[in-house]
Amino acid sequence: MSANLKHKLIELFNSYENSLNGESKTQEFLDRKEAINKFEAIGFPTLKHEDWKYTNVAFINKTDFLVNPKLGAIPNSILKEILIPNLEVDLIVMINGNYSDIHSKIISKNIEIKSINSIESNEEKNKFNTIDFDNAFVLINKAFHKDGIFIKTVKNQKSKRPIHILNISKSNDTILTNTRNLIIAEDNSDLKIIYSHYALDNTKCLNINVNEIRCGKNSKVEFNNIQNDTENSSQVNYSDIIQERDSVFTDNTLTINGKFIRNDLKTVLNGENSSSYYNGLYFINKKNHLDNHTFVNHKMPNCTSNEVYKGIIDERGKVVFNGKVLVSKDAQRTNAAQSNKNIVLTDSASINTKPELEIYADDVKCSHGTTTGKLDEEALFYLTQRGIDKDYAKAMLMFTFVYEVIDRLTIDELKKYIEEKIESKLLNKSIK
Amino acid sequence: MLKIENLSAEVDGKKILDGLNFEVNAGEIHAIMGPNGSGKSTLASVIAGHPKFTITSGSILYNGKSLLDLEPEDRAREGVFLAFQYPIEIPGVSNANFMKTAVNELRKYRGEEPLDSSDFLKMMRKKAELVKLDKSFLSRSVNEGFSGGEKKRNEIFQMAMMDPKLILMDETDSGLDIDALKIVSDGVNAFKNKNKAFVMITHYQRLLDYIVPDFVHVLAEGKIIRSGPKELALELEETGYDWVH
Repeated sequence: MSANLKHKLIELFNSYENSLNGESKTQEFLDRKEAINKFEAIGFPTLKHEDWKYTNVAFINKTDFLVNPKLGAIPNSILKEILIPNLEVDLIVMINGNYSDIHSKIISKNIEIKSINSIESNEEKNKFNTIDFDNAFVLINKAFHKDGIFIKTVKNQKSKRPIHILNISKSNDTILTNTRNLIIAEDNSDLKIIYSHYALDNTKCLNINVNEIRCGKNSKVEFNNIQNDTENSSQVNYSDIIQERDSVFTDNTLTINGKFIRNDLKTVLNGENSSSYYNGLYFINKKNHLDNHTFVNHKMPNCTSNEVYKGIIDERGKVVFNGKVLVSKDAQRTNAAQSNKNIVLTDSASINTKPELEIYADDVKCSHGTTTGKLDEEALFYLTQRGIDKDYAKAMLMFTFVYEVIDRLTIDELKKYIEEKIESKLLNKSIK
Repeated sequence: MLKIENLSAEVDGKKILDGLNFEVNAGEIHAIMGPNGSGKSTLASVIAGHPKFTITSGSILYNGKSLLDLEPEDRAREGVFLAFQYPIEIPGVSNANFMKTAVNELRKYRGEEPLDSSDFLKMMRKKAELVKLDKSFLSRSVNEGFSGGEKKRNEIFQMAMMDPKLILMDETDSGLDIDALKIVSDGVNAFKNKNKAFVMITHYQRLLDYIVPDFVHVLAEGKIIRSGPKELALELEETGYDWVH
């Protein structure tokens, strides 16, 4: 009989509840219980579910995962290979869903960075009860997460360096881990986060990561999700963002490698004159799968949202883009733009792209566009006419195609790192 | 240097060149004129090896070698250069890196060592000066945000860097104001010598005031229907092309 993750998770939760021996009345436990009950009711999504129409997660339900394994030990030297070279950061290391005190290294003083398990104030704990009751993965995360990171800036203070949350999975078993990040940018502060999940030694794993990001008035927050993972790693990322007036939020999702990746980004523009930017870049090959789902809710007037997703799909790679923009009745003078452009290199590679606009205000400027094509023959001829080798010329053109997104990165060392990773992947492809 | 015999070519099943004959010797400058859609640009693209065109008959010999057997990159490495009518923008790749890649491929083909960075930079600055491109241009992305005139000057800069033998200029003069036209022409005139040959495709006599051709040809309906000395261009300016139909 094949494994059934849904049953396993429900049984696990029941035995956990029994082990609590009557200590099961805390609010935290009740929240977890509510989540698992809801998960039991809805189960994993199927292709009939509108939001999962082109992303089949049946393989996840059939995988025999070890859930929330123990903190594994990793040598410090390995971190050097995964981190962005020459970039000074406040480093937070999570291993198998647990905060690793020995590997983390926090330098900055003017910012609060800690494990969520060490949050004492109930007021702060309660801020983070956002939950999507329609999303099985978010429910699993809510019920099973052991730890995560809490970050809070100080009002009116600029941060001195980016924070890198490095989320490592490492086991000889096939593992399922859950992490949560709670990020608050107070009014007039700014913050840059680099987040990356990495499965060491080709660990077979699924990580479910939920980010809750709160952008205070006139704050500026940047979240860089570096997806340069290993061959057997699957990730489900879910970010819930709320922006107050005059705030700017930018998400850069840069997907270079990984077996199965689903990213959900949901922003509520909750204050006037706030702006949200989503930039996505991907190069998907082999039989890998990437699904970017975005949702921007324009609730207030004079807000801007801008999405640019560009990528290359090769071999039997599969990419899904679904971007939804909702403009409420009061959100006059909304400016919303969405663009998804793809280069598809083989007949077996595929893209399903769907931008959606739902507009209830009358004074708005909204646009969306998608293109899917092959490499530009005229441009290829131009390069080869300059004596450049055809394969190298193709790599140059693909690099050029995604460069618009790379160019939006604001951390120079990160930009250089991404340029090099993309270049080497493109050249390896061409020279083979 | 170049000998084309009975050349026919088509694109998407449509015949564009139809039994064309054309010969160019080293040291010569040829102008090819003719009405829109007569096949002028196709001729340049076919010589350079654009994969979009299918050759249905004929031959192109270049210094005794059949060009039709060579890929476009090898034709370029053999010394065939096409200055494009619409140069392509390459965001994220600097002019310096682009030319370094191109020139080093060329050197590799000839069995030479790659140039070291400082020699290369010196050479680029010198050639950029030739077409009055500011040295900041070297670090800018290829043609990105360039004006029409800057793009054409960049083509001439690239020509000077790659030091080709046969230069095909596809409407290099179109969209240029007089100052830019003069810069481009000066660049070409400084570059020409008895070992090089030029084929200039143009609509207008104007360019030929600055780069004086040895021969002028009229191309219509896929063939060269008339050839003559430089004065032919002036005559064409007077009469137009109505007579060719």
